Amino acid sequence: MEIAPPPFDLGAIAPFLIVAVGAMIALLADLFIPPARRPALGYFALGTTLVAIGACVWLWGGAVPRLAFANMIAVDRFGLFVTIVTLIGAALSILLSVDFLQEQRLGYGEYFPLMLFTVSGMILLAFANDLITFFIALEILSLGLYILAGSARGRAVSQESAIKYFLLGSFSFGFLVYGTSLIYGATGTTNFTALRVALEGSGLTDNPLLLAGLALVLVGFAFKLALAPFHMWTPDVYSGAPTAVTAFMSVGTKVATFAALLRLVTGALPALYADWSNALFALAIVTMILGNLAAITQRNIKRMLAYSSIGQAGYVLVAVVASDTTQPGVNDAAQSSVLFYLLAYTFMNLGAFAVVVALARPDDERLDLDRDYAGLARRQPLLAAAMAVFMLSLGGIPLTAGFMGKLLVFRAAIEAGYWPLAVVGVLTSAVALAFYLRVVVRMYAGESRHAEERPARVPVPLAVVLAVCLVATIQFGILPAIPLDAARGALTITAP
Amino acid sequence: MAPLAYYFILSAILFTTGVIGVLIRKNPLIMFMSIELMLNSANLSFASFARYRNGLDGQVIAFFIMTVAAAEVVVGLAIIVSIFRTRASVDVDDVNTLKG
Repeated sequence: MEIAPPPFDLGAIAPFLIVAVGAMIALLADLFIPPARRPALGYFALGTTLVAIGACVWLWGGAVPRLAFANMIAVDRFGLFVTIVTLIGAALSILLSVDFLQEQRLGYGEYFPLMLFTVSGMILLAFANDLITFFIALEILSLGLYILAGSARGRAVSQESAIKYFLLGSFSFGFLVYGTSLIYGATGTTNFTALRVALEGSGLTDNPLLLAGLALVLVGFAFKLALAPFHMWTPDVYSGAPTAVTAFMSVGTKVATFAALLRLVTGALPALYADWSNALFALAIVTMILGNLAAITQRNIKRMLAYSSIGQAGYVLVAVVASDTTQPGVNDAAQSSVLFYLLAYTFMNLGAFAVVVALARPDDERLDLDRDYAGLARRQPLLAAAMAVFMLSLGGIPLTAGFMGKLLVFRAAIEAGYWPLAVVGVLTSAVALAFYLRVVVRMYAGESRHAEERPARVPVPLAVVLAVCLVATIQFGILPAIPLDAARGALTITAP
Repeated sequence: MAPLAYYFILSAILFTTGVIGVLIRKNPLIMFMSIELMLNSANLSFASFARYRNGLDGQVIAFFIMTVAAAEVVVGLAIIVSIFRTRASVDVDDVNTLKG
């Protein structure tokens, strides 16, 4: 008997391959490069991500959508859009890290290879069309992040961040895997395409095994996306990890995992819309309220940004809930707003973290809102102005990317008939302004504690990150047409 | 052969034991063992469903999960050892510099 091997469509996973191979080369090169030249590895990693973005653009124009590797990978514009956003986030995080690592004496070592491996996991996650591919990708990205979170080995907070992230991350992985096994038990498949076909018009939609599996998988997602009430680990992990790593994981992980969630629920389980939309509806409301309320009391900027990222995830979730595939118009608006919001979030959140990185000193990370941010505008007017823009954008003030994102999300929610979500969203955004604006007020009105010391020098790579994030945040707020058209063009989740 | 339900109930009991273990124990090593229990309950569930459905994929998936679990052990133990080196204790109640 002859068994035909499935065709090897390596071109379909070119971005993943480029990043994975780049990571291995960087890992090997690390052995031969003298310590003083290690920053070169950062630029190599940056080049790798840029080449991968090029590969995505090439695929975007090529023969997409297509399924590859026995339907386990779906290469479509949706995945490519998310991959490009992830890669942009990764490229900016790498630039952010080059000088930060040196200044904080963190040592380069495995840092950039690990970052690239993590990015390869995120890319695979964006293309995963099977629960198996999905959880392998999720694990590739998580394992890298556990180590990166603990990469400041001597520091107690970094170790604590790593162990908490690791235990909670693997715990949620257990839920995902067991949930997957129940879905497999109920339907006999783990493939997204096959699941959709199996569930359409079958009597399976009331199957308790299937619903329990869905519930467990959603719990796993909620942990990974830091949705309340599964968010307890986030503030500790975000504030303990080195700031550059926090910046990276707060954007990349969220973007890729949201893409996987959207692909799973709309691509594989549209038949269960009533079930998952109700569950996510409740999660979205709790997440928006808890994330934004808890952020108000924070005095540490990294903890505040951690809670803020929980709140932001709540807004994205609103649009996921509205993705009802039976109403194509509503679904398109909802999914394109998810993509747009993720893109806008990447720039504004990375920008805010870039300012935190710029202020850090070797002996003191300068994280206290009252002590270190007061009077910043007088000492470092440019950094303060940049931070103000990012805070206003995260808060959703008009003429910023954050405002456009919120507008699209809430409009999609109302079109889909979920006006309670939109109401809660608008109210919590108003609450959120309290802590975003507080940072701005501190910077412009407070008295500086560090008035006598020389202002921090902003290295060139960091300045580039700040400039890119600033331009994107304002540009997407005033003229959102380009990214929005791209997002609308990216809506074909492969469904052959 | 015992009916499918027996295997399924056993896997559910193992999974629940794992979840409770993670939630109530304070030692990261025990918590970690409980997580392994959760993953292995999924393996049992995959293998028994695959046998029941006469398919092979469920059994193959069990191997994937074992591989992932092994990779997790490597990273997890490394983190725990590095904590033990600096603090000479791994109780999660002692690892509390950051307040949730």
